[in-house]
Amino acid sequence: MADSKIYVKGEELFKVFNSLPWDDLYIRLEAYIFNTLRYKYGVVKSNEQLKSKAHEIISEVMDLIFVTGTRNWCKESCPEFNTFIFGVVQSHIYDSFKTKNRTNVNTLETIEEGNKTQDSFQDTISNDDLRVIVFNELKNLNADDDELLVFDCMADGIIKPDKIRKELGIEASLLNNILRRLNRKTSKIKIKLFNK
Amino acid sequence: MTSYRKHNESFFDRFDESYDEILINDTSEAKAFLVEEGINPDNDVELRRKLFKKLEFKLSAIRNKQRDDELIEKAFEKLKAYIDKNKKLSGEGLKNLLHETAFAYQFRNLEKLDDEGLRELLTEIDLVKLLEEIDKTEES
Repeated sequence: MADSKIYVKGEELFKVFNSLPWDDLYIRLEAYIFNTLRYKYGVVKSNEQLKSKAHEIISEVMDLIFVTGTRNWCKESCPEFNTFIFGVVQSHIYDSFKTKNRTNVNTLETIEEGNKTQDSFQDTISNDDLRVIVFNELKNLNADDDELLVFDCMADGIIKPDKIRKELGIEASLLNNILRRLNRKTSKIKIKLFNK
Repeated sequence: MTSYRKHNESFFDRFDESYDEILINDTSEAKAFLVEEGINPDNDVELRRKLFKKLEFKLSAIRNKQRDDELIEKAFEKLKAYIDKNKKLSGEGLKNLLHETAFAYQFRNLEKLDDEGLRELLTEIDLVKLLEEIDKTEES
């Protein structure tokens, strides 16, 4: 069936490029990629290597969108360009890992064994038990009361930062700080649990 | 044995999802994250500028090519209509321009060129001047 979506192309796409808040966008992309590689995929590399990888991914993704036109932006299904580009980055990283044995990401070392054992671990433990385990692990990692409070909130299913702020009545900057610390700790716990 | 996989996957996913949303939208937090990781984005101004320039250069080349292609198409349509209408190139200015600028075509019968030949010819001449000459010839 023919693709009936309308994509942003030609002059309109050039305008999008020229209006990009480049420095800010780059920093957000770099942080997102850094966080994804180090804490979600468990890539064990130095800061310089991860920084260089992030730069490479940003360059590749910009090429896919603006130069080769391989990834097209459809405003109708994704009104914000910001959301679109981060989606492209996310799938680009995912694809890279999927094909890492064949192509360009053989430089990335991941916690493959951990990923393999993740399945069996997840098959044997209930969500409630997992919540208790993670809570105790957080305490072992010296999580403070704020972090434990936010953790409980998220474990209850309140995930959106805005909703967490409202639920706990805290400022955005404070929540950001808490989530930053919590993010690192839960990633460590995930790696630890799935490597058992 | 009960499989809890789906629940557990989403249990950890929710932490990723929440912090991702902040990093995607909040530059100050992205900076703070990078600084805590040991990377100072303020030191990479030149790195970012160079990548932007490189992309700008590539885009500019694409844009120019698109413009050239559009102009060639416009000139092609106009020249073809002119040839069809007049059966031969009667305008002196037009004839001279084609002969002067496209030396390889000097001794060829331009009205007998096929579409591909005409397009090829148009890549070698000043298209803006050609369009002006056609207009001039048609007006006279």
